[in-house]
Amino acid sequence: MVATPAAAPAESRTISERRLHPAYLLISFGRNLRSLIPLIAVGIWQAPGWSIGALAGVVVLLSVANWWVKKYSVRDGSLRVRSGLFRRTQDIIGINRITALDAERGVVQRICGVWGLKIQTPGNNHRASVHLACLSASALEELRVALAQPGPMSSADGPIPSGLPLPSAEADAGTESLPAGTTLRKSANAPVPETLAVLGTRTLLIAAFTGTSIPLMLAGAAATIGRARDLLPEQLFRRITREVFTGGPTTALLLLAAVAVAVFAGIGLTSLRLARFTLVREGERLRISRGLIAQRSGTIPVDRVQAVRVVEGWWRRLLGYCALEVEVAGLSSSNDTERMLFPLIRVDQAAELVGRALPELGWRPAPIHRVPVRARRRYFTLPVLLALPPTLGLAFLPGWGAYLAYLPIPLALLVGWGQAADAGWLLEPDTVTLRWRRVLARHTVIARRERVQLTEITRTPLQRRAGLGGVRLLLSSRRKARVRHLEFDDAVLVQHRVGRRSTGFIPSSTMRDLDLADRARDVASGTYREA
Amino acid sequence: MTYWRVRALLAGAFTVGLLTWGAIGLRWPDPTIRWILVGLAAFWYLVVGAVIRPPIRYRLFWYSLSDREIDLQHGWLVQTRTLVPMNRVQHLKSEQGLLARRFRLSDLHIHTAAGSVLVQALDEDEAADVRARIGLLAHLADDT
Repeated sequence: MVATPAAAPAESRTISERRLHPAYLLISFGRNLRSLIPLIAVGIWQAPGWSIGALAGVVVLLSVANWWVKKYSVRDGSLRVRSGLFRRTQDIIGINRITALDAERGVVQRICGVWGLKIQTPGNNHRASVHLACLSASALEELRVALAQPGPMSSADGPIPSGLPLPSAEADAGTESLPAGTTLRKSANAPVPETLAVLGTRTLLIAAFTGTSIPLMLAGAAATIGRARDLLPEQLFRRITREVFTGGPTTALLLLAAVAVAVFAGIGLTSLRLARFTLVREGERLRISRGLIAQRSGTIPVDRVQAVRVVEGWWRRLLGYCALEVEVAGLSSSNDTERMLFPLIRVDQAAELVGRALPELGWRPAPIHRVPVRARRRYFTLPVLLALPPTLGLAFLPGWGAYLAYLPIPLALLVGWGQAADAGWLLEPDTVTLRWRRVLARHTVIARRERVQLTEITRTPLQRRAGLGGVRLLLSSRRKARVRHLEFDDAVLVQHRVGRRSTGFIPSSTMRDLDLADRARDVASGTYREA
Repeated sequence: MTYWRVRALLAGAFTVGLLTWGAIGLRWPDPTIRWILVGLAAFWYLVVGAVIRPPIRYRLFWYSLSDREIDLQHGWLVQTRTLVPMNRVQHLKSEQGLLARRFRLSDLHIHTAAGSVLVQALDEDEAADVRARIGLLAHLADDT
């Protein structure tokens, strides 16, 4: 079953039609059952016992039928998946359109020794285009080999990704990973996977403390209390609050305990998600595996990485840490763990790690150009405008509430000040760097110059008078990079250098020193005046 | 320009009519607030939309095609200039509403993997021509 690395590339790139692992039966049965829970809950009171039995029989039959008709194959450079009992569907995905492979397994899948595989392509922004729920370890391995991109390097030295180790090979030497692991050691041609970074316990704890889990838990707890107030009868709720919060130290202790529970739950959740986070570079691909109980492992072709994003949250920045994300088309924009390159790393080591993981990006950290002083005060405008409605709303609050109205504007000024201080840009031969701050977190996007999908300059009349403009880059991950106010000439320079496929290149620093930017401006505004 | 004006007038007549009806019929917000809302809507649609905005928009809009990129500028209050590399174009779509058909105009959406750019109210034949040319040029440079 296992494709040997010695096999010819053509052979290893075909997989005849086959079904998923029978464990799919169990999982799909469970899923069907779960979707029927409301029905069962209602029916159990009234329906006779035999009808429930019949229902269970139908569910089993459906699962078997679904498993029977779902088949996948790899042929002629594309993955074909046939499925559907009544409505036959066939998905065909060209191998060279695949942007990422995500293998994952939950508890049940882990017990059965199978993996689920999600295949990502650009264009479907929130869901995987194809999800193969159950693959045995060897089948997964085979599929990975078959779906490997025939990249430039692999054509030079044979089937490059053959004999990849299983995702679990580095993390835990699970029994199921042995065959693939051994093939790896045998094959001399295959590139040795290089483990670039592993998330340590200390960093994991910091990540958990500074991450979003704890605030989310607290918000969730608050929401639960709110719901309880709505649902429980008024008197009961009052009695509970009166008996529990007797005032004095007990209340304080109780509150503290609640916060502690939320904090621990948050840390636990983050640890489950991020524990044993491992970043591995294998030839032309990056392999990321993580998770304590539910394991996930994703593969991203290096060639598909459009940009790297450095996110420095407010807390993390104080501690000198940042998170690294990759921008890849098709990876969901809502789930930030899917596009994570590394969850937490010291800022001074980030560039080095990116350099080792993605040398193709050609990122050389250099001091970025700050926005001009006269642009800085403009960063205050938007936050202050946004802060006005809450201020007005709070000012009409009765009693002490009115004093809260003094809060939004100073906060907005602080945010604006931070945004102005952080904004900046830089052009390098291969990359463009934009840095800006959202509310608290500072984002730095280092994008491959040639891979940016759209570049936009925006200008309001006020900006026009001050000779300023804003730049926005859109990447194929459907995410944006923007600097809201900068010198208009610089904006034009960025647009021309990023959006256009020019041959010669002058780094932005030289360009500015020589004042060649003027010339770029002339070109741009020449057309502009014509209109 | 006339198309934009007529469109703004139509939309404005509808909204202002609705608000006026609400202002007469409803009891809840203060009468002054109700009529201020009507006034604001009327100002927005009938003055800004029909008189001020179209000429600015018309004056600011231009586009240029080359074999490598699409370069265009649009907007009125916030003026935006967009540059789309030709080999990033994924697909093209043109749209024509009832009113637009009356004026022989057509909207063109240029889609890339990251999002789309809307070129509004091109002449019908021009839109067809632009669409054909972009299609041809984008096809020549075929890689993603």
